[in-house]
Order: sequence, then structure tokens, then C-alpha cells
Amino acid sequence: MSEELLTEAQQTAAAEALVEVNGLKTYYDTGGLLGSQPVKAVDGVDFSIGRGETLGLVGESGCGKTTLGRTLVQLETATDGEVLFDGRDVTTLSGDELKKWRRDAQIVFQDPESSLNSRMTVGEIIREPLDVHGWPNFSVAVADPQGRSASLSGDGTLTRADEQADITVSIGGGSPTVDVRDTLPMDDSDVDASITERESSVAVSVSVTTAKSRLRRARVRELLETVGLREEHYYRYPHQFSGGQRQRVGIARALALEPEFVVLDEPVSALDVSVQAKVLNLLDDLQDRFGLTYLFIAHDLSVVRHICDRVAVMYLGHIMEIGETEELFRNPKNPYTYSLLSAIPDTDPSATRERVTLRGTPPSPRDPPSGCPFSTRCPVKIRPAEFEDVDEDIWEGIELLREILREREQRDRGLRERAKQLLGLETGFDDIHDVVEEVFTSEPTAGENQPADDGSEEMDDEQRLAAALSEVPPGVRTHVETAVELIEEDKEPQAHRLLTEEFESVCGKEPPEHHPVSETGRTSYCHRHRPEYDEPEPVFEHLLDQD
Amino acid sequence: MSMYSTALIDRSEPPLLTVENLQTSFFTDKETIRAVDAISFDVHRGETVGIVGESGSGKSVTARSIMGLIDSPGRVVGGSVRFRDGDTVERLAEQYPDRTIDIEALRTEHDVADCIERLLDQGVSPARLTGREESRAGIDPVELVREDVVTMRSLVEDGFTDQLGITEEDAFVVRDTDGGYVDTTRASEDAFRKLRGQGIAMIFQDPLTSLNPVYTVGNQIKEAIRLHQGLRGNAAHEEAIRLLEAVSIPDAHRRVGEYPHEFSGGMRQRAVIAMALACKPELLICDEPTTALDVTIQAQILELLTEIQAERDLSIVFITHDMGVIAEISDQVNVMYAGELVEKAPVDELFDAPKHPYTQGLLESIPGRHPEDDRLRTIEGDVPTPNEQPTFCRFAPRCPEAFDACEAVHPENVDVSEDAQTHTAACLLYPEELSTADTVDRHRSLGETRDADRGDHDE
Repeated sequence: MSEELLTEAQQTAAAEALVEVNGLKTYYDTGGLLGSQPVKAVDGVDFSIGRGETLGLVGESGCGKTTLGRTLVQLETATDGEVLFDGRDVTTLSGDELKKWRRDAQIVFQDPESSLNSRMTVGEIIREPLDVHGWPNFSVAVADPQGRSASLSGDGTLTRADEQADITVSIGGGSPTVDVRDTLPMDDSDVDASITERESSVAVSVSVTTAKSRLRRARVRELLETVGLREEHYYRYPHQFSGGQRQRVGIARALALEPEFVVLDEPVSALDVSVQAKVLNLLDDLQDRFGLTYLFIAHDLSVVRHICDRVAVMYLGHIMEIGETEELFRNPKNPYTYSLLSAIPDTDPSATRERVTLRGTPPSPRDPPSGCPFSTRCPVKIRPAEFEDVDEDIWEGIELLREILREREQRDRGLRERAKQLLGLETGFDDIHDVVEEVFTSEPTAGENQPADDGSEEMDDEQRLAAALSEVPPGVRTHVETAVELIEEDKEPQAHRLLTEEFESVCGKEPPEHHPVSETGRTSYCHRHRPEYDEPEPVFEHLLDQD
Repeated sequence: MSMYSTALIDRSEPPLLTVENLQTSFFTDKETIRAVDAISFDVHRGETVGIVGESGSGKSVTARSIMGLIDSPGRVVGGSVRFRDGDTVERLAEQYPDRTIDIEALRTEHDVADCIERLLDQGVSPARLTGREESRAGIDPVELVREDVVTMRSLVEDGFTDQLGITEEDAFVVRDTDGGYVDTTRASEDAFRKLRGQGIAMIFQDPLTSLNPVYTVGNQIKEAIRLHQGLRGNAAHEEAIRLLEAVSIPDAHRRVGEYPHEFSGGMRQRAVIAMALACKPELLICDEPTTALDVTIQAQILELLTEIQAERDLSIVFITHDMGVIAEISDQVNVMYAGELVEKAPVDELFDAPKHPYTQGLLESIPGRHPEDDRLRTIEGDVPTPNEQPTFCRFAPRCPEAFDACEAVHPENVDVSEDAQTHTAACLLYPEELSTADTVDRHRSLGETRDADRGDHDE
């Protein structure tokens, strides 16, 4: 996107936000027998989307991006926080108000296979929202040069001041003239209007001569054409279409009620690249034509880079970084964004780029880390000052050991296991020596079948532990040894706590803040932006140089 | 060079896997779908060969044909897949002595020149025998043998010995002094069971389909270890833990006792890779192994595969629709379209200078190749179903460069290399140095020779 367009998008964003999200949280409370923790799918996000803007929302699966999208269109109930749509909080809407608002906010789902009813024809599918919402609900404006108050009878309702009217009745000598909005599938002649003028008011009676069902059919045909399908597709079934065409049907359905805001939930993820390009072009055209505002959810970063004005990067229910697309892609500030971008396969095989490969998978949103959500995987996590110089591999080992302890503590145990543990039959941790050995000795070669080192069989646990920790500096070793002793005494939580106290830094202890990181208002959620620490980028470079 | 590939590939050795004119069709009441239509490629030891194409292009069917996993109504109808792994050949030759051809024995029993004479008498065209233009009269069998144009090996490989009745038609193991091969297209189901896993292993897109939900992951890996390495009890358990550690699953001691549903998507795929490694394969076929995974996890898996490849000198056939993944992991790339191989090139060359209009279009439609463009470039139309004899270019209806001859002449793979590397494309625009009329003639005559070559396959 060119500089010019960027600043333009910025200005509109600053000038007028269509959607504003403040402190939004969506938890799934599974309840359950033992009153478990809720799943914190969206855990406090703030952002806004300007009118006519496309905001991209990216992240790994399970990070809460789909939940966030669904909460914005009120398919999920927000646990806390507000979603302002044109300044109005829609999380509190209900009944008729909510139904009316839904016309303005629509969603396109990822999988056209499952989001289209296979027993309905394409025409019926696209027509369904029209039927449900009783479309067309004509809004009538009365243009009276004398500015008298108007009352209306017959089809339609009077417009509010800020709305665009479907039918405009102009009064001025003799019979009134009628003007129908261009986008409706009917002519001026399809509307009969009569007026009764009084001193201070005008009574207008409007009747539409075309049947609603005919109008709806006409509207569906028009929509089919809008999304690049043909009129004769009206009577076909979804299975007769290819993936790309089905996604077009989904888009037509979302557009049927002329929404202002559309959530696109991975609309092209299931499509081949050549089909994907066509659908992306279509979405682009539709935005220009109807002035739509998009929230574009995707995990494919190259698609996001192409279509979005701004991007929000999500991880475990939090927005890690949000800002202008091109700037964010060129110069990511947040360690997670940096790692995510580094993982995209490059279509240029000659590029020699160093890659940051993240270890492990995101933690469960049921029990997120207490500090920064990314702290369990962050390659540039801040270390406590006294361990600044510990060797990279050994530090990695400590992190891994803590991760294993944490995971074992969290895991769901079957009833049998729990009973066994209560009876003292199983400690759940009788292999701590194996674990320490695995964590601190350099990786076993994924190679040929080397029988386990002959000597190791004869070594007892103490010796194995000593051997595994031989390289570890004493300052670290004492803590690990104490932890092992605690575990042997079945005091796993204490051992875990000990390691956390000794080795945890600010990253795992307190949540970071959203620091502004550029002049365009980009923010990043990371402790490293605080003045007392090094910025993430040089640390990454240092890390990659070592490899 | 792609980001990961560091291993040196010895191309002077015969390739580990040779796929030649492989043809797989699906027979339905309505039509015959030629899902894989005469494709050929090689895989060398330690090499990663990528197969890329859109859905419906036949990439998965290719993989399944190599593995013998084509179910009715599908059938491998022609071509051969030769797997040249010494151990596998010996193992299978021992188990199937009746279905093994010993070329050395044939050489002592039969005279090659004599065989040629008999074949010529049976009406086999000299061109088919020698692979070069030759007339019936000017041909001297003794001369051909002395010049090594025709050998016993080549007679066996081309199926002529079957025709002469000196070998069994259902033989699929071929032994020779310098190693032999197994022709998997002829192997029986029980022989395949011995070949799969040990020899050729496969990883699928969805790891859950390869894992049994009611057994622990460790159990399933141990099963593979028991079947293929003969280890039992504690030794198998230890080996399973070691394999899980080898595929970088943390806390393998606990994980080995967990069920597939307790694993995350990336970890499941790792477990499947561990199962494949338990069989110690020479060739690993990966059918979209990272498509269902997030990019960060995809990066982990790609890295893991590269490590394993370097350590074990493993050959990999990597199938995906993602051009980015192909660029990162492959050494050699095959582009498939509607059942045919339309372009074949080393990875750098394919991305630098794609020749076939389809490859060009595919690369162009990736977002980000032309950041200055507001609109993405697209390919008009959809992938057709290959249900006819290829007497024309299947891409012609969508091709921006198509001309009249494209509808009438089938393009053959021709050399389009810019330097010494092998780069071929099946398009009437090439070879570039010839005039259009000449290239059309070239493709037509190549097609005729090929049809003659395959005479016995094309019914």
C-alpha cells in the first residue's frame, strides 16, 4: 500500500471509528463437576476500526481471534467490556434493537461447506436474511420545501435524520414526486404516493405496488451478480459449486442486508491460491463499492499483508501488537510478531534469512501464564539479572524443566490416576531423574538406533543427576537439586514454586503494558519496551548471530 | 539453495525412486478420470522432491499410487515405480523367490542378441527397442549388444522379457549384480505390506487419521517398533521414548503414556513422524503434512524433517499446495496440473524463471509477489477434470498465451534449462529457440514416439 493511502486510512481512522472495543473479555465457562477455571478466549482487548478500514486479526489457532470476531457481531456474549458501534454499546442490546442492529453487522464464515445449508438452493440461502428481517423495510423521507412536520401511513417508516432514505417523497405543487434509491431493485413508478396537506403538517401515504417476494428475488439476483455469480445459479444447490463459488454465496448472503461492518472469518483459508486471489479481489471491489468496514481474520500472513490497512496480532486472548500493516510487517516490534513473521515460508528460495523457531505450543487459555501471555515461549524473555550470563542451552533447559513441571501440574488426570495418587500408589513423578537428564543433556540425536549408553544402566539416580548437571553453573545447580529433592519428597508444587521464584523475571510475574512503539500509533505489549531493558530487536539479532 | 537443504545429493548414483509414465485412473459409471496421467520423476538419496499443484491436480493420487494405496474404483493402469533400495530388494527377494527376476541368471541362460532377434520377429519396432530412430533393415542385434544400447537389464525394465516369456509377468523384484529394484506397481497386497513402513513410509495431512484414538501414542509407536525392529517389552518402551525425544516432544516419559487427544496438532504430527521413523524408512512421502498446522508449528515440523533427513540420509517426497513451503523444503520441484506434470525444475530455477504459463500464474497469484499492485493477479477459470485422452493442452482454456495448436497438439515435457540443470516444461512455447511451427512439430513427433512406447499400456 502506498504512503498516500496509508495516511488517508490513518486520517479516517482517527476521524471516525465505526467500531470501538474497550476492555473486551469473552470467557467460556464450562462449569463442570469440579468448578474449573473458565477458558479465557478473549482476555481484555482494546482497539478501534475506522469507517471503511480493513483491520486484520492474525494469530495461531486457539488465540481467540474467531471468538473476538464472533463477539463483535454478538454471536457470543461478552463477559466484560464494551463494543461501541457508531458510539452505541451493542453488548447491552437485546430483542428488537439487537435484531435491527444485526442488519448492520454481518459475518462470512471460514468453511463454506458447513455454513451453507445443503438442502436449500443458493437463492434461498441468500434470501434467508431478507425474509428473516422482513426486507425491504422502506425508509421514507419527506422533502418538503416548507419544512412542515410529516406523518406517514402505508408501507415504510419515516427516516431518522442520519439515515439514507429508500424512498424520497418530494412535495412541491400538485402531485408529489417519488424518488427510489438506486440500489433497490425497483423503479420510481413502482411507488404510489399521495399527500394530504395541512397548515402545519403533511400526511403522506406511500404504497409499493410490487410484491415483497418479487423484490426479494430481484435483490438476490442482483446480489448473485455483485459477487460474480450468474442469475441462473439461483436454483442450484451448494454442492453443485466449487469452493470459491460457495464462498461467494456466503459473501452474497452477508451483503444481503447492506451491512456497514463485515467480519470475515478466514474467508479464503480453505481455498487454493489461484481461487483465493479471485475472492480477495472481489472483497476489495465490494469494499470500494459499498464503503464496507472489514475485520479480516486470518492466519495466512501474506493475505493479511495484501488486504489490510492495519493489523492486530493476537496471542492467548491478548493483542500483542497493533498498527499499520506495512510498517508492522517491515519492522515488527513485539517478540511474538517477530517470531510469527519469521515463521512464514518465503516464496523466494534464494533468500537466506535466519529463522526464529518457537518452542512448544501456546499454553492453555484456561490457565494462562500470570505475567506476559507469551512468556512461556518467548525467545527473548528477560532473565533475572544474576543469570544474565548463563549459557543459552542451560537456560533453555531450566525453562523446559519449569514448563514440564507446570504442564504436569495442570494436566487433567483421569479418575483412576487421581484415586491412585490419593492412595499413594503413584506419585505421578517417579521419573524426575529421567526428566532432568533429558532437559540438561544435549539433545539425543534423532538418528540411528543407538542402544542406550551401556554405562548409564549401572549408574544410580544420584550419579545420573550429577552427570546431567555437570555443566550447570553452581548458582543454578543448587536450586535444581533442591527442586529434585522436593519432588522426591512428593512436594511438586513447592518445587515448582521454588524454581519460579528463583528463575522468573518480570515477564512471568506481571502483565506488560501496551507501549506505543511508533509515530503512527502502533502499540506493542511487551516488557522490553520499558526503558530499563533492551528492546527486543537487538536481542533477536544477537540470538541469531550466535546460531 | 533452499533454506534448509544442506545435504549434498549424489546424482551420479541411480535414483532411489524412479517413477516412469505412471498412470492411475478412476473408473466411474459416468467417466474415466485420469487422475495421474503419465508422469515421470526421480528421487535421489537424501533429496527432497516437492510436488505442488492445486486441489484436484493429482498430487495425492501420485503419492498413494507409489504406496499402493489406491482403492476401487481407482487402479494403477500403467507405468512403473522402481524402488532401488538394496536391503528392501534382498528382503523381498528372499520372501518372494517365485516373483523375483535374477538378471544375472537370465544373462547366463539367454543371449541378448538372440532375444532382440526374436522381438523384432514378433513385430516390435526398432525405435521402441533402442530408443532411437532406426530402420528394420539396418539393425544389427549383435552390434546393439556390443554398444550396450540394449542390455538384459533394459529388456527387463521395458517389459520385453515378459513378452518373450522368459520371465514371469507377476514378478516385481529384480535383482542384479549392481543392486536391483522393486517395481511397486506390480507388487501384491501382502508384499506391499512388507514394503510399506520399512522402505517407504508415508505421513498424511491429518495426523488424527493415522493415530488410533483408543490406544496410547506410546502403544502405537511400540507396535511399529515390534513389527519392524523386533523389539519387545522394556526395550520397545525405551525405544519409543527415544523416538519421541528424537522428534522433539518434550517430557517424552509422560507423553509416551498419553492418548492422541491429549496431544496438540503439531505434537500429533510429530508422533506420526516418530511412528514412521520407527520403521526406518529410506523414503518418506509427506502428503500435506503441515497444511492443518499454524505457521509457527509448521516451521517446527519443517525444521524437524530437515534434521531427520540430514541424519538419516532420507529421501523425501513432499506434497503441498503451498508455494512457500515448497520453496523452503525442496531441492527439486514438480508442478502438477490436471493429472500431468507440467514443469519440473530445481527449486531456485523454478522460482526465478518459471517457464510454464501455469507455474507463472500460480506464482503470480500469491499475495505479496507484487506488493506495488493493488489487485492480485489471477488465473481465469477452474482446474478441469482430466477425463479425456490428452490430445491437447489441458491448461489451454485458461492460458493467457494459448494459440490454435494448443487445442490440437499435446505438449510433451521438453528441456528448457538455462544452464546445465535439468528443467523441463510441457508447453508448446518451448523450446524457445525454435519457431512456433517447429516447436509444434517437435511436440507432435515426441508425442507419437511416446504413444508407440507405451503401446501396451494404453488400451
